Amino acid sequence: MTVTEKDLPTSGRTDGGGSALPSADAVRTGLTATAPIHAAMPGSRHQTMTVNMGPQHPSTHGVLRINLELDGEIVVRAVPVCGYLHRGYEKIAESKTFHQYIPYTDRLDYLAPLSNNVAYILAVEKLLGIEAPVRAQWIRVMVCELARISAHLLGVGTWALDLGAQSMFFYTFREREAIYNLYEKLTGARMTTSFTRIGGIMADLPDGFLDDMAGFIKQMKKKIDDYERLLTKNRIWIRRTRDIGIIGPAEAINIGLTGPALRGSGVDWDLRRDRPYLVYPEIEFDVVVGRAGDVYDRYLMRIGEMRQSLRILEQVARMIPDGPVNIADPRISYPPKDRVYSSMEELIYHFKIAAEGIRAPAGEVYHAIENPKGELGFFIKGDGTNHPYRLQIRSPSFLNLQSLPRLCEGHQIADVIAIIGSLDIVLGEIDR
Amino acid sequence: MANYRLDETPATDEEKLETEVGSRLLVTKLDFALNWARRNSLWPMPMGISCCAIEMMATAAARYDIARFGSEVLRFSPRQADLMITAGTLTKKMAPVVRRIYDQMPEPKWVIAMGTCLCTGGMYHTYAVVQGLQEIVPVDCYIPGCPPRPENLLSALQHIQKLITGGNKHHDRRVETQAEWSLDQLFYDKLARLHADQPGVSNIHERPTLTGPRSASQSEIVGPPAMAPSATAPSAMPPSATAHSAMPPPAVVKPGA
Repeated sequence: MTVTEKDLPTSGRTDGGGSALPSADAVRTGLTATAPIHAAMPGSRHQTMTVNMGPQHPSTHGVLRINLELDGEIVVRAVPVCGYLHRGYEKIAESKTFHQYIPYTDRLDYLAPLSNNVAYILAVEKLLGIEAPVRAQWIRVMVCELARISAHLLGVGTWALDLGAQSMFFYTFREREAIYNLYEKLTGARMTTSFTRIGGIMADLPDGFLDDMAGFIKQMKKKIDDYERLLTKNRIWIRRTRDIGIIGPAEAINIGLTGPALRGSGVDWDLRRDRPYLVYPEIEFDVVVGRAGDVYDRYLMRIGEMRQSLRILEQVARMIPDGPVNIADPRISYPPKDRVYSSMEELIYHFKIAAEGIRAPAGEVYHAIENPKGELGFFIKGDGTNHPYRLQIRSPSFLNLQSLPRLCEGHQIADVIAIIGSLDIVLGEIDR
Repeated sequence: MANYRLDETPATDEEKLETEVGSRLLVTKLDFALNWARRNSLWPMPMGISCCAIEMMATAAARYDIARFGSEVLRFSPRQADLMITAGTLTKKMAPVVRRIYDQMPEPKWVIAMGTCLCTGGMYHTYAVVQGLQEIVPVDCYIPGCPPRPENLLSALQHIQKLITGGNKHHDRRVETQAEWSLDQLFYDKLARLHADQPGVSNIHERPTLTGPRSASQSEIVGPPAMAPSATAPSAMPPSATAHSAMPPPAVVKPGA
C-alpha cells in the first residue's frame, strides 16, 4: 500500500503541508482539519472523534471551552477556546480614572482580589513616581499572602473535587471562610475588596486584627498537615496526578508559564525574590521548587507555598512598623475627614481628588508581581490625564493556558481534568 | 372516610380494612404533595459564569450549607435540574449557551439571577456584556450585590420555595411586588401631571416596559399587570404629596442628649 498525499498529516504546525490555511469555519470553531500523526501510518484505519468540553462544565473552572480531538480514550489534540467571559477590561480602563479602575481589578482573578489590587496600584504608583509609606507596604505584603493562601485553597479544593475527593473541597472552604472573616474585618467585603489606594491603602488595620491573624496562622498550620494526610500520600491521588502532564523547564519557559506551574518544572523563579517589590527583601522565605514538572509536583508547589505564606505572615505580624498608611501628599491621598469638615483647604483637596481624580504624567510603565497564579503585570500608558491612555494586563492564567494543548497531548481524556486543575486557571483573568 | 377510634375493635372486615388504611395513609391533594416535594428538594443547576460562582460554592460548602434547604444536590446536567442559579457576568458569547441550558431543563423550572451583572449588567456597561439575564430567559428572583453574600442566595432559595408552594409562580410574584408597582405608578402619575401642559412631551405618563408592547399572553409571563394610568391610587399609599407633608417629621434622637 502506498501513502498518498491525502494520508499525510497536513498540520498547521509544519509549513510544508498542502492545505496550510484552515477554512473560515475551522478558524471560528478553533479546529483545523488536521489529521493525527498516526493516521498517516500505512494500513491503519484510525479515525478521530471531536468532543466539545465546556463552556458549561463543572471542571473547566468557569466558562472555558476545549475542543478535544480523541482517538478512543487518548487525547490527540486539545484546543482551548476562550472569550466566553470577555468583559472588555482593557477598554473600560480607558474611560475610568485611576481610582475608579481599582474595583475592576478585584474581578480579574476573583480568587485573589487583594493581590490584584496591589499589582494594579503598584503599576500606577510607578507611573506617578511615588511610593507608599512603609507600614502600607507591609500591609500590602500581608494581604498578598492572605490572598495567596485563599487562592491556593480554592485551587486545591476544587481540583481534588474534580478528581473525586469531595471532602477536600469542604475542608478547604472551611479555611477560606476563616480568611474571608479576616478580609471582612479588614476591608468590609468578603470577596471584592478594593483595598488599595494610590499612595497607600483604604484604612489601617482594625483593632485586634493581628491577634486574629495569629490565631488563623496557628490553625492553618495544622490544617495544611491535614490536607497532606488526605492527599499527598493518597494512592488514588498519586495515580491520578503523578507523571501526568509533564513539561520540562526549557519548554515551560518558552511557553511562558509562570507561578507554581513554572516552579513545578524545576525553574527557580519567583518575582518576590528575583524582581523584589514592596518589602519582600526584608522577609525570609523559601521559593518552593519542584522537579518532575508533572501534575503532582504542581500540587506540591501549592501546598509548599501556603506554608511559606504562613511564614511570611508571621514575620509581618512581628515586624510591621507603626506609622501612616497613606502618603502625605494632598494631591494624591484624601485628607482626614475631620479636617475636610472644618477646613476650607482640605475640602478643596477632597473635592479635587473626588471630582477630577489624579493626574499622571505621560509615559509608559510595566510592573508585575507574583500573584498566586503567576506573574500578573499591568502595562499602563499615560498621556498626562487622569486616566490611562491604554492599559494592558499580562494575566498569568492566560499564558499558562497556552500550555494546555501540549500537556494534554497523548493522555487519557480523564487526565484533562487533572491537568486543568494543575494549571489553576481563572477565566475572569483569561478573557478579561 | 368515617373516623374510627383506634381502640375500638372493628366489627366487620370492611371496617377492619378501613381502619388499617386510615392509620397508614395520609390523604392529600396531589398538587400540594407534589409542590411540597418540589420545594424541599430543589436540584439546582449551578450555572457559574464568573465571580459570583465562588460565593455560590461557598453557599454549598460547610458554613452556609445549602443542604439545610434540601438543595445540596448540585446537578451539572440541566436535564436533572429544576432551578438554574445563574451567577456571574453574562457576555454575548455566553448568552446562547445559557439559553440552551435553560431550554434543556425540564418543566417546571425556576431561575435565580445572582449578582448585579445579571440584574442590570452592573459595572460592565460594555460592548461585550448582556445587560441583564432577563434579556434571554425569564427570571424568578434577582439577587443584587457584587457578589451577593451566601445568605442572600439562601434567601432567594427560600423565596423560590415560597413561589412553588404558592402554585402559580407568576401570580405570586405579582402579589409580592404589587406595592412596588403602585409606588411606580404614583411617580409616573406625578410626572404626567408635571408635563401635562408641556408641548412635545406626550406619552410620558405611560409606564415604560422592558419588553416592548405587551400582548395578553405575555403579560401573564414576564410583566406586571397592565395598570391604567388613571387608576385610583391604592388606599394604602397616601394619594398625594400633601399627605406626606402633613405627617410629623421623624424624631431625631441624639446620642447622649
